[in-house]
Amino acid sequence: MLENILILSILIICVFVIFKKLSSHESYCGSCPIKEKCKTKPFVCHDEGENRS
Amino acid sequence: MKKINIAFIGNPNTGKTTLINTLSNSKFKIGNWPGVTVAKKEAFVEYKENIFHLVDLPGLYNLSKISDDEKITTEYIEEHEPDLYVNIIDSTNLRTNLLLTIQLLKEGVPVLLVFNFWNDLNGLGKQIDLGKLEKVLGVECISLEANQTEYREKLLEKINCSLKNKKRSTKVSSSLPARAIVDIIVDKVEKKVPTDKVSVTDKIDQVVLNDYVSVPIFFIVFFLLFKITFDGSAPLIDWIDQFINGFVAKLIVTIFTSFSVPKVIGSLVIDGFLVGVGTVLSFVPLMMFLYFFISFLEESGYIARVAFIMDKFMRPLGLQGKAFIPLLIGLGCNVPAIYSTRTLEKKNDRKVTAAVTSFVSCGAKLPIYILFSYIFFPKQAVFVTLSLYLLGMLVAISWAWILNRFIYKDASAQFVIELPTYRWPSMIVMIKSAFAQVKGFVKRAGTVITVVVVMIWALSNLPYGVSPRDSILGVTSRSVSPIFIPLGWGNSWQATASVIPGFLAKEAVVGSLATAYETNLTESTNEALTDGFIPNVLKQCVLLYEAVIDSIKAVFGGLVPGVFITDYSEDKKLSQLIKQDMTPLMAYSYMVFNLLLISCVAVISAIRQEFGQKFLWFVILMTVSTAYVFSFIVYQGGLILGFI
Repeated sequence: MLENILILSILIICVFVIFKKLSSHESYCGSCPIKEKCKTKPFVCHDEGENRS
Repeated sequence: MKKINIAFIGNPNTGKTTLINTLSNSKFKIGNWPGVTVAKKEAFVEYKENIFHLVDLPGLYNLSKISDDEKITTEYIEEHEPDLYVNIIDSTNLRTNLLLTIQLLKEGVPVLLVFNFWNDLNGLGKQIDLGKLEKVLGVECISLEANQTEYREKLLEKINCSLKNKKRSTKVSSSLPARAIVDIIVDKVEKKVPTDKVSVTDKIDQVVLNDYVSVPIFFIVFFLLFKITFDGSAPLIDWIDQFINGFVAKLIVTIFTSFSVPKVIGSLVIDGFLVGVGTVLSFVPLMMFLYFFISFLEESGYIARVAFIMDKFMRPLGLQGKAFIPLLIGLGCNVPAIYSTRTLEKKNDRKVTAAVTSFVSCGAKLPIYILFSYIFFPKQAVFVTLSLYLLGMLVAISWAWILNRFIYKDASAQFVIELPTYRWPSMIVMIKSAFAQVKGFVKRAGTVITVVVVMIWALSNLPYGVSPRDSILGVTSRSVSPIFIPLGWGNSWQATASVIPGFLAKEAVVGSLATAYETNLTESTNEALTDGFIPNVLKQCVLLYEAVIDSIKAVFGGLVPGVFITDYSEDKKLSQLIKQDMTPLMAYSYMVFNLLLISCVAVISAIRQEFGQKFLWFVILMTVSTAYVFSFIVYQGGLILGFI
């Protein structure tokens, strides 16, 4: 029983981490060079290549 | 300190990014073909009392806005006022390069002219009088080799001087068209010494671009690329595999036993994390070799030739040879390949090329092929892998034809590509490029793949104590697997379970497969370390040394036709488990499915970013259905032909 709770907790953490990652700039902005500095939400690219935020 | 904005501008493939890398010690992607830089890049250099903010702009031939990468540069010029434009000129091609220079000078902006590839002029029997050019244009000039650090200080000082002088040319305000001004200037400053010598590039091109042998050479080059990659990396892959399973796993068991760590935690660390991530990491040498040789092809100038060769075959299909460059870049990673479609002038060409790029096998899919090829086709592993790459290319070209013919009915633009001079690639650049790619691979192994394999472990251990087959993962996969039974590999629930994580990252397929197969089956590795820690470390050092020697031998042995040195350990536990579940035909069908399925979430993001949500769904639907149909044809067709 204890093992099941532990494994389930690990699973929930993993799912949470994956969703967090999928909704992050890293996922949305691909290789955009300024994604680290980008603070806007929802993630909108102002144009293609330049001034992305 | 004062921040000074300096924009680097010039024709494609003149060495702008190389120069910025040399000045700032950056590691921006470079290559010997036009269109490597498709987005603005920035770097910073401290020099004397200033901070130079270097802006690398995509290359362009003139200031008209045609393709998306050119728009980035022209819009930058319209909207920004940098303190200085550094205009990089390919000295060997003055007439073409000066057109942009004249247009820039007509804009009245401060310009410093940098003549790259200066040492190549002698070989071509050309001389340029820079003093005369400075007088004619009224701006400062400097000659150098962008990849040589000895010119760094000289250029920084010249930039500093140009900033102080702030020279804006007043001599190029003529009402003559820019092209006519270029002709007058080139006649004045460039001297060509008559010579009968044929340049090395022309000599190589006489063979490489020959109508009859160009295609066979293309296939030989790529065959050698894979052969050396496979043979050279195999001993090192084996070493990492035994290091993780034979040393690290035993070390962890020793530590866990000493501290009486619960069994479930031991299983998580060894069966889940170590097996999954370890399997992915064991392919690091493979990635290193692959990216090193791709970098060699990029740097040498051969990639631009491939586009030229392919134009002949792609033109009847409604595609231009230039579209082949993103496909070739896709061999490394599909994400930059999608961005590189910006070099194509027409939106429809961009869409078609980006859509079919997903069929090109990226480096992350290679571990799947190497694992299955060496289990089921040990003697023909290179041919099997090459066949998958070719199939990917063929499917990509076929889909491009279909899309051009029926959906994006828009004739391709004229194909103009400047064939760069062949250059012997710099070893440092190739190693740096390979390391940058491998770093990304390891980073993904440490983040996304770790989470994925731990998830797979958790799902295959819930409820705790039951066999993996009856776990949540086993039951769910078995309920989904009938969909994949017509493809052959649907009977293996582990194979089914590993397909979904592949959407996150293709490296996760191998990791998930290893975790799903080996969970609860790792008793043999669950032994404590014997003989003590130090003797084991020394033994690993000796084994590593032997693996490196074997790898070197294999690389050179691989150059001898017919010699196959690679002997991937067939006695590996994972290999045995997969062999029990699958036949060679099923394995090939599984590889085809993964080959044609969209690569990963990063590719999905790139397509959405560049072309929007609607087009993304179209690409996902296209790749999933193509993967399924081709995998089906391979398996069912193979059965009809009598394969098993």
